[in-house]
Amino acid sequence: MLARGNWLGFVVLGALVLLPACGGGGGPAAGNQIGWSIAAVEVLTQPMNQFSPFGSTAGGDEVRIVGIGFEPAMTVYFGSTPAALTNVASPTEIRAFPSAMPPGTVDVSVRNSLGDAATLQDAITFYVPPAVASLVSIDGPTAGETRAPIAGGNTLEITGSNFVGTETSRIDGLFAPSIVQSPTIMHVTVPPRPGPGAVNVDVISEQGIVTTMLGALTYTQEFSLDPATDALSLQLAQHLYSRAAFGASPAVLQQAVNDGLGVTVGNLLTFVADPVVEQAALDLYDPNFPPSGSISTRTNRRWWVYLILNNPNPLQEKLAWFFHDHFATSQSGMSGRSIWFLWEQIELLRANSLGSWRDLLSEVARNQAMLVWLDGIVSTGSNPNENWAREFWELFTLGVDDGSGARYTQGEIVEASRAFTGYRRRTAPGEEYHEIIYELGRHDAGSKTIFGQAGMWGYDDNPDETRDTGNGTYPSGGMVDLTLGERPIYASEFICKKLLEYFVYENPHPQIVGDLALVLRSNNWELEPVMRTLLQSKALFSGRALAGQVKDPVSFVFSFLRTTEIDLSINRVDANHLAPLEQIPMQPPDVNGWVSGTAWLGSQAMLLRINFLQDAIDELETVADIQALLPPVGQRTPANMVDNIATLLGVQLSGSARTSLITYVTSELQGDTIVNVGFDPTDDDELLKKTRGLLWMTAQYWEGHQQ
Amino acid sequence: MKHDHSCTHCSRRSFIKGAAAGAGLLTVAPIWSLRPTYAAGGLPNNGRFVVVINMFGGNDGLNTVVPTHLSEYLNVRPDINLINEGDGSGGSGGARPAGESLHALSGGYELHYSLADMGQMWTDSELYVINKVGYPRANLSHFTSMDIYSYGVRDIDGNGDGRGWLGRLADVYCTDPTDPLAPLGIVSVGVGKRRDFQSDETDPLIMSNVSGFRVDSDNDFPADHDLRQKMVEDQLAVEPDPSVEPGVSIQNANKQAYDLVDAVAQGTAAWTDPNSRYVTGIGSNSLLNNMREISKMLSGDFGTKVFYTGIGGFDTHSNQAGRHETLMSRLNEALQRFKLDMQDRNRWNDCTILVVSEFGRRNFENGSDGTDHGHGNVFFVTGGRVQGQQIVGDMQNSELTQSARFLGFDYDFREVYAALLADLGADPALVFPESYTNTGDISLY
Repeated sequence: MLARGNWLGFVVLGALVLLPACGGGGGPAAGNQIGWSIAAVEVLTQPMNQFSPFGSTAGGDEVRIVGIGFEPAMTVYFGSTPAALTNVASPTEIRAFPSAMPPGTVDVSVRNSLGDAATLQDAITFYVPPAVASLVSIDGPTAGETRAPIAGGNTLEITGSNFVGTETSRIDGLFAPSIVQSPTIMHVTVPPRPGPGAVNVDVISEQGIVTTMLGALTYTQEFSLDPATDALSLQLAQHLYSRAAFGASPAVLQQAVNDGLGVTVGNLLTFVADPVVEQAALDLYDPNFPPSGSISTRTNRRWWVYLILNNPNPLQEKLAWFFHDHFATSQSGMSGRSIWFLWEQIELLRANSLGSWRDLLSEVARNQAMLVWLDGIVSTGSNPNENWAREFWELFTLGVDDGSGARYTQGEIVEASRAFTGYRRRTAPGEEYHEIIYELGRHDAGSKTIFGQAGMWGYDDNPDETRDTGNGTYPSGGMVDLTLGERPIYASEFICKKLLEYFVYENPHPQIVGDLALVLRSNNWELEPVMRTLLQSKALFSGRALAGQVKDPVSFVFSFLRTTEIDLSINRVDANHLAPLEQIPMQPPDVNGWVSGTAWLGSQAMLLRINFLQDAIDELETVADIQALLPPVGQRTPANMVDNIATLLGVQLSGSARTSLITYVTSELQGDTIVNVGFDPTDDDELLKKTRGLLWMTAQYWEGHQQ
Repeated sequence: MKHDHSCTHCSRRSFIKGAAAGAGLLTVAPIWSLRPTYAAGGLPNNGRFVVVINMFGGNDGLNTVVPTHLSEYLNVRPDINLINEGDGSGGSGGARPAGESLHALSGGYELHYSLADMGQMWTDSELYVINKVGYPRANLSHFTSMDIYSYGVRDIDGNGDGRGWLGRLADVYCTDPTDPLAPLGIVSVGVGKRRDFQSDETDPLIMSNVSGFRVDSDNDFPADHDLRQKMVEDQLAVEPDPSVEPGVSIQNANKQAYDLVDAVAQGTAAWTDPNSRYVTGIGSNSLLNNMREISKMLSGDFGTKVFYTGIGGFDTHSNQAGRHETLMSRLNEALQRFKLDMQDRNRWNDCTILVVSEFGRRNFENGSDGTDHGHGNVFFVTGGRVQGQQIVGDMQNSELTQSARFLGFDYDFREVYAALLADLGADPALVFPESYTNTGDISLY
């Protein structure tokens, strides 16, 4: 914006100064002995052309020279260089086209065949134009493409050279907010346009020199929730499984390549419980299930981590993980047997993640862990506790109000906290542990006015046995229904934006958020169509999404383990890695959940990730473990050993990185022996460790290029 | 509300660096210190440093510095007040355990009974108490309020530049590109990459503990360790695509890790705890743990000017009394033991500790013997040069009523931060670009 403002100011100033100079008549060289003279010089092909005598050093601008006494055979000179083309249109006007010129200010002269000249001194300045090479949308619904929505708003990245920081740009002739990021990068915010079509993109230097990319941007009515191409390369399959799952083994990825996107997404969305895996997970739990007494916080985690690593329905765990971060509830707020409540909540998320958003909210609101965590059990009608009511809106359904009250007001939080009353904790009859029950007497049955609606609002779907249908004091409606019903746009956009940010990319364009929200609303708040749309969308396979995302520690750790199928003990992952990496499942830092994206990056965090990779790779203890990662004996070369591991990890190695690794294999692994023959049984230990070293080094690239 | 500026942030970084070589865009000239590795190159090399301790969740200031002289305090807190004895539950009349007593400051204000050592700091004229710290237009959301504190800007969307206040400090004063230790000018300990540290130019060091700040590779085969680490470092120095996020940010974090790993290990290797200042309480007191790590980093002589750490659990909506007592004990223990350690090492006079929180709590207790979100809150400042035994931000009964709901603010938090920054030799105006009310009342040194 600043660049543009400065530029306009410069031009206007130039015009004021130059107008009298040019129009002042004749110029100093209008000698008496010749019969022609120049009155003014204009450059027609540059912006503000009426008053801006600037040209591009590239040549080719159309220059208009007005004066008197011009004759057909005359030639225009810029300094000492003749114009590439001179066209004497009339005795009072010439159009001339400069050839390539060095930068600088020069005289303009009109000469006859004898070399006699009429000259206007310092009449035109040639500037080096900003050079542009390419452009691409880096956000919005067409990230990675040269398209823009007709609503505008996405960001174009223009790559070129010689940018000095003051350039601005036009799209389809309209100035667009532009920020020069570097001598080679400029970001432009795309303005709206009435209809679709290809348009020119101009980059304009401070002096007004325009460089045009003809038809470089296409406005389109399509948005990238459109289905992506069905064919999946191995790389795209890896990308899909890094988002919709915690990575996948080579066999699973190959199956996805064979099946294509539509079938693969269909499979991902179909949860078929594997009773063996489910039972094995429960077997890691307390022998009594549900437990009858106190359990450790690790008990819940053992169960879930086993499922994350082994569930053949990987999206089920990925979505549960997403919703766990969303409804961030910590077992650190529970004790004794109540720690089990977290198991209930995670199981609830696992069971309902592709059902109705309305039902999921309703279930979570009445989940025992949540009622303890956000004080639902202590909130009473006479003295309500605002904790749950505030976070229900702010963090779970509508987002932070901007202060306008458009989402909710502080007064409505108080009213909602009266609605969310009725639960309490008690010692279960005949047992020594706690349970959470609903008692109508604890519910504030009075009228509350929320979103302008007066009613006896309460929890949705209160337990039937506590309803007193005799005197009609049960709630007249549920808070979830009220919230989704009265704030449908905020509610649908809030969760859809979060899904897009988690599964696709950060800061999604409002248009694509709105489009996905429409999918949610028009499907009666069912999540399955939303996930189906999202996972098959062009957005998910756009350049911006493919550029990667910083995995949170849980995704980082479990993706590596699922991809390599390395069997690291659950307790070791838990204590040695997730705890120092500061992401222990079921123990979020607060109700806002964990940070995301680049906020995970820090020096120590990177070292901890590197050390996790080492610890996992150390689990490859036998020759057989390693053989499985390499091409068959007899077919090995240093290069295909490196390539095999890179492919396994989904790493695209640059040429120099690949060369370094091949050199390592050749020199450190004594190429001939293991490459061609397999491991030498007499020297297994060293070779094993060095091959692990290769894996570790390659894994650094996996860390550095996360998807 | 997430404010992610990572894309523009890194591109801008590379541009500034590229341009600075020729154009001298950076306005702060490097001040050459005697030590070539001095981190905060733009600040005086006088050894001074600040430790910010954040009590995450919104500390209940009224039960931390208790206005015992105001009758309304008792009225609005019948069960959880600290004047009367009781167990803090319904009908108990108070939350002060029998045998415990508050620690008198002045003017009727008294410290929580678990803050005995801080009471002694007051007596020793080393504790400065600032009541009613906040910012205009109270926001009761934890996350919005934390963002306001982190960015140092009230109007985040209008006036923010995407950087945290410490990020701006780092960008101005810790930018010497020839100094690999520049990121050590500001160090986050045990609280992750909070938005306070978001920067354009220099990423402050984000660490959790010194002993884990190392590369393990292949413990049982050390002969190859150095070779591999070197290869990885070399490759990371030229790898990923410099124009695409998040590869750039990952790259930068990795590079910084490898740049610093040896310096941190070697600089802190000689640290010991001869007087066992950090022995008791480790394990349960994460704040004391973090203070120990700060002590280790100080022993490395890295020239760190600001350490940022914290402790969570202050969102006491229910059954507050016991939880708050534990938290106060941890704060008291961490401050006292760190102070003794700094005295042992002759660093107490270099040290200023600031204790903050994103907001205070409601005047009145709720029905669950807890308190809901409020606003104006108490800050503590202590340190060897702090001219303490002062308390500012007086309260009236009328401010403590149920209808008043919560305390307003007398002091913008930036005025307090600015006082500490000025003592470090920094220009607060470069760190807090948005205008705020400066009372001039706060005189810490």
